[in-house]
Amino acid sequence: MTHKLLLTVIFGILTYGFWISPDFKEIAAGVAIFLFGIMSLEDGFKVFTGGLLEKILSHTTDRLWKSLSFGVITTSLMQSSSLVSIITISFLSAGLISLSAGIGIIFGANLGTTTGAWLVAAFGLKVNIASYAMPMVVFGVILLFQQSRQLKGLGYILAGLGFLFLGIHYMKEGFDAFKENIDLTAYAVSGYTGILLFTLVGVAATVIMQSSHATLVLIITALAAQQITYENALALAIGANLGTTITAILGSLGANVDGRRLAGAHFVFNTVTAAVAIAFIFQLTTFVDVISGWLSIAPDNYTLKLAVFHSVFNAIGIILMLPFIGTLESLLNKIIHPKIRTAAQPQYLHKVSSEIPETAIEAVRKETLHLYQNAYEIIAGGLRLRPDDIRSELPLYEVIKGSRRTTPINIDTQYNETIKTLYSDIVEYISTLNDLSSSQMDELFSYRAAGREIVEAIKNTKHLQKNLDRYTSSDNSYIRKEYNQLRIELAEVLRELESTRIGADDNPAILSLDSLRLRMRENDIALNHRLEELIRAQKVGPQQAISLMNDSNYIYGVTKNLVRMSETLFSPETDEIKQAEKLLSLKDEELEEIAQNKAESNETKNLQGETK
Amino acid sequence: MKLKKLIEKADTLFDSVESDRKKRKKSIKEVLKKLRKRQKELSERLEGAEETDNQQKLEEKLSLTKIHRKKGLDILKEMKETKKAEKKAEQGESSSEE
Repeated sequence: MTHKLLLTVIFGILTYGFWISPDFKEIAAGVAIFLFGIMSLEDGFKVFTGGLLEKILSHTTDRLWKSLSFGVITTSLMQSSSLVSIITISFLSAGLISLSAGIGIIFGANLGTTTGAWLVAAFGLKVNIASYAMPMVVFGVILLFQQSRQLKGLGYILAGLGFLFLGIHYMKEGFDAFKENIDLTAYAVSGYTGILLFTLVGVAATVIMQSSHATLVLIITALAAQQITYENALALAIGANLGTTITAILGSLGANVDGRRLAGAHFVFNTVTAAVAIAFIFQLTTFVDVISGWLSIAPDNYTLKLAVFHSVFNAIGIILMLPFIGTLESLLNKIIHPKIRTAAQPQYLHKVSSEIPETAIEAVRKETLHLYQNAYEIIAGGLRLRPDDIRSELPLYEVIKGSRRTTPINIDTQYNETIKTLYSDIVEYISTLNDLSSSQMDELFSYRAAGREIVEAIKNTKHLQKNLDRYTSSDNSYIRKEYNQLRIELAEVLRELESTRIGADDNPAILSLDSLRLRMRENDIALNHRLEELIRAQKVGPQQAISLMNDSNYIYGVTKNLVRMSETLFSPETDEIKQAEKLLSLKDEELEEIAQNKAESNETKNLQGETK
Repeated sequence: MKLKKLIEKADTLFDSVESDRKKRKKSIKEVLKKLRKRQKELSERLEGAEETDNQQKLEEKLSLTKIHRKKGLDILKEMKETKKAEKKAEQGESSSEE
């Protein structure tokens, strides 16, 4: 309701302004075109933020100076600190970077964004940029019609830059014409009252336009047309910096706890910087004059001096805050807590991570791993074993021995309460993702299929549970022993999977699973042999033998489901490495041959033992 | 860089089959490196293993790792031979044209 009311008021004010002043119309159109340019530029950069940015980001998380430089460079190149903030929050939410690395990037982005003021003041106002803008828009729009994703992205960037330049041109023209009719400097307020008032105006303008960059360009063009005083322009710039945190806070609302903590760090940085800048504004102005002198900037070139001021006060903020990054991190960890989640609630599927395909895909992978963790508990429960015992280093026969008093779980209830809801959340999240390349779609489908395997594994465990409960407490020690053997085999699979998952960073995960596939075949062959002997010696009845065969098939099914799921989920490697591992992985026939050879050699050994 | 090497590099850039082959080769080499490390690690663990059951499992893993490595090396060898044969065929074609 408030939002609608605000929108109506803004529309009303603008319409009135357009009616009374054509120059105001030109300035406002300039701002609108500029903002459209920023949006287009962001869309374009998003196309290229994929693999390359992910690679760079993974190398910038180990050292603070690297995160800082990443923030400065990317923001200078993309000319949008909001985009860098959103990317950082997305990567943080998907668990790809740490909070301290994120804070470093955000601090760097604050300095990087000041290059915008330099570009506009040094280049935008001196050159007739509209003449550059026109061809850019034309070429950009032509590229937008192309099929290739990369060319389209380039089109967005080119058109975005064109609109950006065009916007600046209209703002400049508007202010030039405006000054002939009205002198806005009549509204200038000097002293601290003016500084506080114009800081607030800067905050409001940035919140409304959702871009500190647009506010800054507006300030520079107004300053160039001498429509605002230098002193008030400085206050407006401080306000723009402060206002941009509101955008970041709004952006973090859909993020996880780390995303909200990062927005908190952004807020603290900008507030501290603004407070210092306001408190020492006059000293800072003198300092800016000195630096401008060093850079041979004329004393009356206020636009460039504003750019110097913008850079200086953000740099001071970084110098002041850098020693306290650790303190800031622990403070934010204390204040902003994660929401208490049940096992069924998604941990990684956040709105912000869906904005960049790479983070969205990683979020889906991690959430499917979360689904697997839940399934692990259910399958262990189905075997009447404690998950921690399976994960421990205790010999499994001891774990089975000690599990007699474990109460059975209701797999149906557990499935409905955790797996089903979480899996449907994953499927729904995947369906909301757009702008994906075909390889990215394939990757997502493979994760969805891995989720399906998890569901199937639980269903197979459920089929197994009834007989397992019945025969592990049977009076027939032979059938009891066989069912406990089945429990050991599946528990071993679960244990092996955990070690593969944990060591997936250093080991070839897909190839490590071959040993599980082989053991699955060996166990099957061994069971058939044992079963034949048990039936022949009439140690188990035909009904029991059939149950055992069926249940062994279920175990085989669960293992197959889990191995397939792990092949997709566990390896954090690139698609090329995964393909190479699959190429080296043993085919079913090869595994069968190894298993048969081993069974034969075991049989010969046994026969030799018997004859001796 | 010599001109010949430069031309070869440019050729690779424009020849998608060749660049795919190079990528595959690089990935296999990377996996082989991991396998070598795993083999060493498994051998060390096997030396320290006391339980027979554990020893058997480690032996099985070790022999599988050796099979994987052999398979990888065979594929690399085959790729090298195919490339050689293709190069020979190309040279044969160009000399017959002359």
